Amino acid sequence: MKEMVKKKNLETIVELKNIVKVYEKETVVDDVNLKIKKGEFVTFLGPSGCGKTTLLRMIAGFETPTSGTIYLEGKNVTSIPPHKRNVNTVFQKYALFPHLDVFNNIAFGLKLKVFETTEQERATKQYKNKKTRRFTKSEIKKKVDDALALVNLAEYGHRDIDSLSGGQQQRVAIARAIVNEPRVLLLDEPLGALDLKMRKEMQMELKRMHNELGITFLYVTHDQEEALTMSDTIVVINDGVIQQVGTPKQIYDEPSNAFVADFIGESNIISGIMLQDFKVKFLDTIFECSDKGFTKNQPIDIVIRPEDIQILKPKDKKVQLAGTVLSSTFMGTYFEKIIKANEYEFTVQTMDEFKVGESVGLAIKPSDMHIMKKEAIINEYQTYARGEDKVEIAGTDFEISPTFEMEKGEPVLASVEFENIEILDDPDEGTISGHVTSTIYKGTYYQVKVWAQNDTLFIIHTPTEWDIDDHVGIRIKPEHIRVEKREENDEE
Amino acid sequence: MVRKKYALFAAPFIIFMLMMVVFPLCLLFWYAFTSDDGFTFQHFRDVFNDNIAWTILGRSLWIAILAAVICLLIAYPIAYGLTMTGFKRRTTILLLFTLPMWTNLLLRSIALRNLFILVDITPGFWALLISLVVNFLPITILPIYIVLGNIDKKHLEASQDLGATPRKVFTKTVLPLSMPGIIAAFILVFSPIVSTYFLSSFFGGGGSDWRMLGELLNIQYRAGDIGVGRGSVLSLILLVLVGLSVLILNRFSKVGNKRGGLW
Repeated sequence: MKEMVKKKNLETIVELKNIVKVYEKETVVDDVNLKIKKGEFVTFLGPSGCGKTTLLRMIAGFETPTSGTIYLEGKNVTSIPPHKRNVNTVFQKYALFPHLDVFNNIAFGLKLKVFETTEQERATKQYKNKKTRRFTKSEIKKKVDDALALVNLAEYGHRDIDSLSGGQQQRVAIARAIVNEPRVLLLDEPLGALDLKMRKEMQMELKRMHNELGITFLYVTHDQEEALTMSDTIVVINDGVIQQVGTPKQIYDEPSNAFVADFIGESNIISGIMLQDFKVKFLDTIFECSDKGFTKNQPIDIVIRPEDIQILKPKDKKVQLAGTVLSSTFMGTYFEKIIKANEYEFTVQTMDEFKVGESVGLAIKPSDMHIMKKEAIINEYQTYARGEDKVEIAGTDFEISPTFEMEKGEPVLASVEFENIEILDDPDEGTISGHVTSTIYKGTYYQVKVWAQNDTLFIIHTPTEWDIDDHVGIRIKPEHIRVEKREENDEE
Repeated sequence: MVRKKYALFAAPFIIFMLMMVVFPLCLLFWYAFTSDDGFTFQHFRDVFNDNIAWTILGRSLWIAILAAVICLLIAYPIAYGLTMTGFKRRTTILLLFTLPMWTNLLLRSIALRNLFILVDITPGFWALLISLVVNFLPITILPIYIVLGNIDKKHLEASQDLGATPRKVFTKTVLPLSMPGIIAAFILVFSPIVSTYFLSSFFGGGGSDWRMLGELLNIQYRAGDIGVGRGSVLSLILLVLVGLSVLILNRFSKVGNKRGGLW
């Protein structure tokens, strides 16, 4: 038994190397590198359209990466068709065959399988001189019955698919996959169609099956709670890029950037400055923190979980920020309160009751402040001058007054501050149009990301909230565009 | 009350059905079971003892089955190519295939006959068979096209995922899932072919060699009262045969696929 555990920790079963997938000029998976260990329960977690399902489909073989390599048990399987890969999929909406009953749905893969005979078998009359064979009827029956028992549907073999509830169909789909004893079981948002109670139940069931079978599970979901409760390892993905890989605890406690912090659980994300080691300033207040290694006055984001903020009487000695309770909602076992302090609206979870409108004090422990580098501090674009006073950004020409003599075609670096870009409701009203891909509240403003033409990203700070997937216009005043000379990269 | 109010909307349909389906059917029974002397089984006895009638009935059945099967064999690959491959102009091509249905049957048939003369096919079995296939191919394609187009691609992926080679994906998944379309198409062309009148008289050579049921009925009904009685008996037999085949095929179709069928 010990040996097995040891093996588990060493062996890589799936490896993704520099995986890129481009659909009609849109990059959905961008240079993903990942190793998945044998026997683990790994979850790809991210918002819809982040590329997690595409990654899973590439491992199953339904999609071929634009570039990069996929290894399964050390073997390059990048261009091997799905029916030759030793992985099985539980599909989002089950995809059970309506023309077959439960038994035959599960037996589908077994009936197709051809495998080598063992030497012992070749010694028998039945398989004399036969190199390969199929499962016999009784073998298939045994395996299907075992699989049915595993998913708690023992007496359902003869039933029609249509006569089953969603949860039962889900179980059949799982049985149909695991009966083939795949090296890796791929699950594509399998619980998405179930109601909350059923989903909770199936989460436990899946975890139990994972423990019993010892097969590597690769699970795709957008539900962070599901990921946190079931996984050994979570891979957080956004915009086709892996944001963080870690255990649920690591992901929750030490999010590596503002996206992860915002996506996993609720959090307060505040923009601030790292004054020096262990000293951070935000909301016009200086706090002690437990982080170091930043440059002096480096702009950073601070993440504080709602349950890590203490609410105190305003006169308490420990108070660091004075605030007012804006709202209070009872959530069953705790209160969720919005508390306004120095123009920032904190979300706080507490067991104590404070009235709306009451003045309170807030305190945060140094170890509960998670400091993260800002991804960027300004929008920068490597582009070219289109004329003496023209520069191109995202396919649009801007007339500017450069501080140096610009030549047509010259490589330049254009930059715009986050605050100097305006978002407009009507995509046609702006000079550029694009889609909102993320919006994060950072206290006094929302940080909105908009992807526009030519794969150009605009990070914008705006006082209003924008919905993900909104098609919006962007307006930049030419006087806000700064241009510098730049050296041309050889790669271009 | 509400139910009564809405029942009124069904009235035109019910009146139409009474006039166009129930009443003619009653007439058929009336003629089949009566003569000048009142109620009789005489027409049935006549028809059952008429060898020529049985020969023509049998011939109509096997020609209809043969033509319908050929239609299916040609239509299936066309519908498959249009729906299952990433074919872009599928609606245009489908339109081209169904376009002949929009032209006049007589014009189409004269054109076809001229074509036959050009390639030296004389009226008779082959001319009849080809004309039947040409005429009924468009309606064979449509139901198969619809059913194939509605197959969830996830089922094909699931099949592949479980180890099916492209050929097995077809035989184990696509074909069974498209069974309702195949059966619908078969019924849709089989029943009109069995009782076809125009095509068999136009392409069958005019003699009795390739005479089909439609022609026989025509001859019977023109031959006065006795003929009308016998013709009605033949029509009833045909009705029962087609009805039975639809029932049997439907049962078959239900085994194939519980949902999504046309029938």
